[in-house]
Amino acid sequence: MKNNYAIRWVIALKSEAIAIIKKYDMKSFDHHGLFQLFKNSDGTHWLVISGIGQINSASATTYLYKVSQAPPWCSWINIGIAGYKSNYGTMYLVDKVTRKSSGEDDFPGNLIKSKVMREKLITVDKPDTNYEENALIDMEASSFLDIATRLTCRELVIILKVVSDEPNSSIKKLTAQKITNLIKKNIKTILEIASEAGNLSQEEYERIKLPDFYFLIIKKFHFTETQKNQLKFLTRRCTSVFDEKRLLSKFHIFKNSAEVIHYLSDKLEQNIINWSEK
Amino acid sequence: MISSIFYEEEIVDHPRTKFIFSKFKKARKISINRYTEIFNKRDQNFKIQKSSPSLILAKKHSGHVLSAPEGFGIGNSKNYYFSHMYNCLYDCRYCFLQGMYSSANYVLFVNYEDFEQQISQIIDKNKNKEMTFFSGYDCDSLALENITGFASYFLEKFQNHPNALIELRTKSIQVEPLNSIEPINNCVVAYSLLPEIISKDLDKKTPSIERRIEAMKKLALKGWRIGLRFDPLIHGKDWKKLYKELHLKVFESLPSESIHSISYGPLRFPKAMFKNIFKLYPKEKLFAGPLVQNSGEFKYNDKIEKEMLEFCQNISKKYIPKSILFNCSPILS
Repeated sequence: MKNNYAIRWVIALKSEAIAIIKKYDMKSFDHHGLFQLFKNSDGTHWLVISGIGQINSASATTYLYKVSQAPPWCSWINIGIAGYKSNYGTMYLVDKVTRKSSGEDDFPGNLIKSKVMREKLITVDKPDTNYEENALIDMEASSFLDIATRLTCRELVIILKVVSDEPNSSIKKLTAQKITNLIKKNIKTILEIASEAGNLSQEEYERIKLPDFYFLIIKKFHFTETQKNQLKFLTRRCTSVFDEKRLLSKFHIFKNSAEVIHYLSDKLEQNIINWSEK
Repeated sequence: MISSIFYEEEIVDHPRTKFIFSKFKKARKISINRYTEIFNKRDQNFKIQKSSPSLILAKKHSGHVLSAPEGFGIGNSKNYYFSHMYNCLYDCRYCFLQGMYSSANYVLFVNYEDFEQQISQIIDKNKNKEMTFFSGYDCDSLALENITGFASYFLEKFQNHPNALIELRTKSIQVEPLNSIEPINNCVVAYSLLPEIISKDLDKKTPSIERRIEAMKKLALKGWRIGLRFDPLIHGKDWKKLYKELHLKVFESLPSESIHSISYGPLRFPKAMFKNIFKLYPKEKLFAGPLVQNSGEFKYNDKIEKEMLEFCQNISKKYIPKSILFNCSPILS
């Protein structure tokens, strides 16, 4: 079966992205744009380097959406480093995001079944080393979540953070190499989570896609926009019980789109469901 | 089963919250201000959420008890419903909850005392009138009893109000506390029923019809009054044979004096609700049936509705008095 899933990665720093780019064999390409982009050969994975901060993250997410033509069944993943009270190097799945400047809370879908620990997160506008609150601290997640949930359902939005600084590991000692290593250390779990996100995305694709049958019909006849909506509804219903080829074989007798719609409506109205048939 | 519990900070010290926390020691507990900030969020995916719903503990501030929709009743002139919970453990493909809420997470209102107070006020206002309070309108009344303690709490309260009937609507075979307490006369335990073969297709995550009948039988023998809810009536090949078999099996299993009421409901979806449900499950066989759009509803055509209703009622009339047969066609908005 063809892979129809779609995953989009939004990552602040190149050093945070290196291990992921390598694992999916993503390549940078020339697109004369605002942000550096990478994609793999079959276009299932795309990645943007957003830069630090909420404005960058929101802009890069929107930019990636436009350039990659991300479909509505796409999974969006933000991964990066974060400050925390302890546990240097540990990765967390974020289940609550608070924007410090406004106090607003938001919630990613939280449906990933990974055993990775969950934690809440506070997104700040300036670097913050106040690790006293029981939450991770970053500078991007809130705006990423805000934008990503406009592009897909929140169950397909995932935020992962690796602890890079804590009271015993100063943020000042952080280097690009150290950051790369922190992500690399968690790459197995990251790939497992991405795989699950891919499965959810594939399921969503199966739910959202229109039957092939629909596209064959609109090639044959002219449909108005209203008729197209009717046809979408009818073809979706038909495919769960009728053989598409057998239905199509009758189509040569129809003169126009209205006759097609009438035929399919009638077929469904006469349909008696056999509940013993699987 | 529950891996995340969201709770309103206001009810963190409520005994019911503490009890639930103790039941789910390993679950993530996440504080929120109001349940609506997570339950009503835009862009939630009901279908994906249904695979692993979170529990949201909240306080209901108003509208604890509401008048039941017109056409909803089992004999009494005054009908009310109250929902201590939104959403259900089960996943039935004809259920309106799929199209009503954007979230599949369970919301549990822990302040039962406020519900009870409003119920008492209504009963006091209508002292000489018989009335019914329906629970299980937005959830299953018994399915999560071991967590919610809903039936235990309310049955004790209703004992003091003999003119008010409470209906517990369920598909659950989890029959506590009913199994351990003495039956009360003003409670009807109402089971939703479909022919087994249809139920296997449409009632996801529910106990089989056979097991539901077994549970009803046990409760009836203990002295509880049973309601039979053939709602919705589902059309399909051999529907007459299937519904006849189902009715006979039920009537063979239950002493007729234990049957409090039987109601039949047609399959109907308000247009907007149907649109939402169809989006979630476009490949569902049920939606490829002979449904028509009529007066803002998706339903079987009048001929099918009437034929199914009459056929089933005629079987029931052979076993129980006509006075306890009801049609249930609530007008949903």
